[in-house]
Amino acid sequence: MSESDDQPQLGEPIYELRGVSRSFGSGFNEAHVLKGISLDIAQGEFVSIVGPSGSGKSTLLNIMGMLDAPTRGSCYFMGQATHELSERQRVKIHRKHIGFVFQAYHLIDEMTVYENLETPLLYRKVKSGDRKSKVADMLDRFNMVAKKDLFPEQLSGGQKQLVGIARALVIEPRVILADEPTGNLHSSQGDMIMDLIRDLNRNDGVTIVQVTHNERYAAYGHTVVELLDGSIDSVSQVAGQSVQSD
Amino acid sequence: MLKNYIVVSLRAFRNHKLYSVLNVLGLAGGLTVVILIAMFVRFELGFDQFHGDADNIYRVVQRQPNNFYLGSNEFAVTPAPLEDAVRDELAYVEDATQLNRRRVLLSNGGRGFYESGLFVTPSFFGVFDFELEEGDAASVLGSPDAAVITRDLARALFGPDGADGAGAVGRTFEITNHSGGRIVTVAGIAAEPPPDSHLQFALIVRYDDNDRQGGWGSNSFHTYVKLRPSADPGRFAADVQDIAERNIGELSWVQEGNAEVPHFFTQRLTDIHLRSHVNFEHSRNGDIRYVWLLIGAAALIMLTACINYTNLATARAATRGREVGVRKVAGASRSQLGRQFVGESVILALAALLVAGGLAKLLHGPFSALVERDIPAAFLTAPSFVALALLCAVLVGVIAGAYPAFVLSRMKPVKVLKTSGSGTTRSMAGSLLRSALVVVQFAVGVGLLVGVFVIRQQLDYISKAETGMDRDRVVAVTIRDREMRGQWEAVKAEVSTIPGVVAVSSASSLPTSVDSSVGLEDWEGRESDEDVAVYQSSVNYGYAALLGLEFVEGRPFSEERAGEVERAVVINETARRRLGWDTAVGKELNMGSGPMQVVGVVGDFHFHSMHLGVEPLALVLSPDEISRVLVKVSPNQLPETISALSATLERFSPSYPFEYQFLDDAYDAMYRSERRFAVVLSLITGIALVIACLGLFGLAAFVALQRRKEIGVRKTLGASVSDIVFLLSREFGRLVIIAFVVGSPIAWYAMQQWLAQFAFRVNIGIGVFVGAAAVTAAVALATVGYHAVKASMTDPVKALRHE
Ligand SMILES: Nc1ncnc2c1ncn2[C@@H]1O[C@H](COP(=O)(O)OP(=O)(O)O)[C@@H](O)[C@H]1O
Ligand SMILES: [Mg+2]
Repeated sequence: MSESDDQPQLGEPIYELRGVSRSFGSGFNEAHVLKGISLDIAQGEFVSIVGPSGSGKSTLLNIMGMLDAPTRGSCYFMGQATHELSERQRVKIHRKHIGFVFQAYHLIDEMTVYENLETPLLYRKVKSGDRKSKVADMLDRFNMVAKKDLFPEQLSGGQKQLVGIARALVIEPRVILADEPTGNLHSSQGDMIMDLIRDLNRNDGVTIVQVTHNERYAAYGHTVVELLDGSIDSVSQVAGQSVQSD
Repeated sequence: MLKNYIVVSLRAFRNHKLYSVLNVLGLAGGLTVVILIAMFVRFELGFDQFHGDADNIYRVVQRQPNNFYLGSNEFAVTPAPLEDAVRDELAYVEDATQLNRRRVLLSNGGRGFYESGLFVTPSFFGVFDFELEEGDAASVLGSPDAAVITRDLARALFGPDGADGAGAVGRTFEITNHSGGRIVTVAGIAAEPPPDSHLQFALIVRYDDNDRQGGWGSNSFHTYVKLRPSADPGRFAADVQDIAERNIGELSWVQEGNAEVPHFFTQRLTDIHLRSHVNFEHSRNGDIRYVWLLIGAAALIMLTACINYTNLATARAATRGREVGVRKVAGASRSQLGRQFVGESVILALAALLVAGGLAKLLHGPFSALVERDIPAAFLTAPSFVALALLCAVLVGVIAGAYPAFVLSRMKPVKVLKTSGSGTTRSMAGSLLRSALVVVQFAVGVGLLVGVFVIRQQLDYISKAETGMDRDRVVAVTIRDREMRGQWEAVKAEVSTIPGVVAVSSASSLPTSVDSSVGLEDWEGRESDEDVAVYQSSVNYGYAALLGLEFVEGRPFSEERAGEVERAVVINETARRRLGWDTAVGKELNMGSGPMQVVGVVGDFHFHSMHLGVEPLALVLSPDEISRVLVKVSPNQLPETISALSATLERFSPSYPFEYQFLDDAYDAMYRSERRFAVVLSLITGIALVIACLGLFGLAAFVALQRRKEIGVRKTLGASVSDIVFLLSREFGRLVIIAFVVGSPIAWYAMQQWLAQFAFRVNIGIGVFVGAAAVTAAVALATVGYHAVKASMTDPVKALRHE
């Protein structure tokens, strides 16, 4: 398979979810958290998942990120059924295409900003020279050059999340999965982060799937998927937003 | 990547100081013990290897099936003609030599001094590779009066002239031993023998004719034989036996059926130090069993230290969930994470090795003194040793780190990343395994403690035991001057006038180790084919009274009665029983010099160490025999009494130095290796317990941290401080009890084996186990208690705020 083959064309589906269910526990205690979710997400699309707490948003995102697997149904990523992949193949795809952003940032405390950004590249065996330039690009882009030797505890929440996004982005992923990226931030920092995410989508064509509680931020996307009690309650297109090519 | 791991590991160590320090200390303590023991083992195993042909050199020794002496029927000595016989008759023998180690008086005019000298045949340097600083190995012993001495001895004999060694060559001095004195000439200077040589000397001289008499009937020479590399050692032993059968078999007393040809066998030179325990060794040998015991102890210590690491690291795994999750999300595979965490523990182990190396260097001196070996410090830096240590540390890192790495790399990012806090999970990862490991650690502790207690009890028993003899304040002066024989009356008169002297007598051997044994020719009421051997000592008037021996029958020798000298005998109870007598007084026995009459029977007393049972003993009256002058002194002004004694005896014997020891010290010296072992084992036990506690300390800290919330809730519900302390200690208390149940039986069995070497020994009582359990429990609870108390003091509001 050549490089260009696994670059999906804009508008082609990157995710195809078919009847995805996820339950925890068994028997009497079984909790059905996702109940037959079917959903297509196109390459370059910006999807917001909303819904009340406990409705299964994070669980869905984890399945899409291959951190978790459906108990029933299938999730296709770029045409491949994730449940048919070996652990090794999953790690490979994951490394190549998926970037994660967390509400709680989840930076490694023992690493400087620079090293946190470098880590995903290390796991991808990127050569030292390339690594340096990619990390430098990211620092530059997010105006963090001066902070590159600081440790996470020395940063504000917004700065931490910037690093979190930069870390997801440094591998140039096809898709960024963001679970309440602004959840811990106050509004000015939240706006900054959301603008950044939208730019990524618009200018770089990165597919975005975000979970959010904030209606305003939900409207940054093209599509809003509302979950209720493990099922899709509604899918709506956001007025004035459409998938664009650059 | 590697750099990334290392940097992050180092920062993680820094951010978790307590954890890292406990880990490094535990591993370093363990590795220090292992390094020191490895040095000792290497030293012991390397004995006599420095000879070029060490592997081809053998010593011929013999077994006399019916002749038990001091607990063994094997002897390191052989007949004088054996050396020439093997050299002449066996083509595959390259060379052979005979020797004896003897204390001799050396003098170059004036008062002499004692040295331990090797009396050797001229082929000595043909067999052994002792280094010569002056002189040529092939010719240095060519002349009958040749002597080879060390530089130190040259200095002692000739002063500054001898200091450079070369200046001593050609000079003469006098050596005196029991067969008289003669003048010898320095023909060469030998380097100090290496500390790992079983033959130690400052002086080597050739035998003269007086020193080495006797044909095949003689039996007092150590024979060493160097075989050609192609020779078959098994055949050599058989050929020696054949030579013995042909020659010893011809002796009249063998022909008449009074004795059998002994069974000859051979020992590798390199086995002598650790595996030979025959009679008449040159010096006290090491013991392969102690080598194994120490290796076992080192393994146990290392096990304890590894367990520490494993436990602390798995406990901490609970707080590293987020790091694992993030790394996995960033694309780390399980095996990469596994390698990272194993790598971390290897780094810690290497850091610990560095600390251990420093500690071992510091402790090398005291340790060498403790085990009474001159272990070269150079061992520590020998490349092979360093390589082995590195390998060992890496191995320890891998073994100790494997399980935590397994636990960590298995963590699921979905789970560990869910909580927004530090990533702490409530799951007690591997808590069952962890408990099992703590049990192992404390079982080791309990086992070692039982061992230490039993050994201490036995040593205590020995030092307080009723030996049937009053050793207190008895000074034994060694007299080597043959001229003093026959001067007993004068010696006694003079010594008695010294103010602090309470009583004086003499004997041919130390009362605590009577080492001369003889087979009885005959005794009253003998059944024809019976053989009885008795230990014998020549003694003087007043011997029994001075030592407080009790008579169960008859009386001591009496100066009032004529004709008792060499004709009257006092035996012990065991002898009376062995000879089949109900009463002994008046009966006769013959020890080879004609019939003697029993005048008294003393109660059994220990005239050997407690390793051996009490054997038949015969005390023969012989006032001329004054090899050991026994002096009972009063407790007052002891130093004055000793110096007066010294002055008096030196007046009688101007050329001999004054040599004395207290009987009590002589008795204690027989248990030297046991005492040393007790100290070593005590130290090892202490270290094992400390290491186990380091681990427990860290573990308790984590458990307290993990249960912070639970403790907070319990406190809001009304739990008192002591309730919480009890709650947290209970779990560890249970582990210690299980450890006790596991460790005690093993220790009991092992100590039974150890005690078996003593004919007289303590019973292992319940107290030992109670003691070990109490110590372990106290140590464990004190360790856990600190955290328990601390945790119980936490402010519940703070602990719960994060919920
Ligand atoms: N590993 C798990 N085991 C059991 N229940 C889980 C697990 N993960 C999530 N759940 C449950 O699934 C439901 C949905 O969780 P989640 O997807 O995190 O919701 P959201 O992100 O929408 O708030 C919740 O009730 C949660 O308790
Ligand atoms: Mg959620």
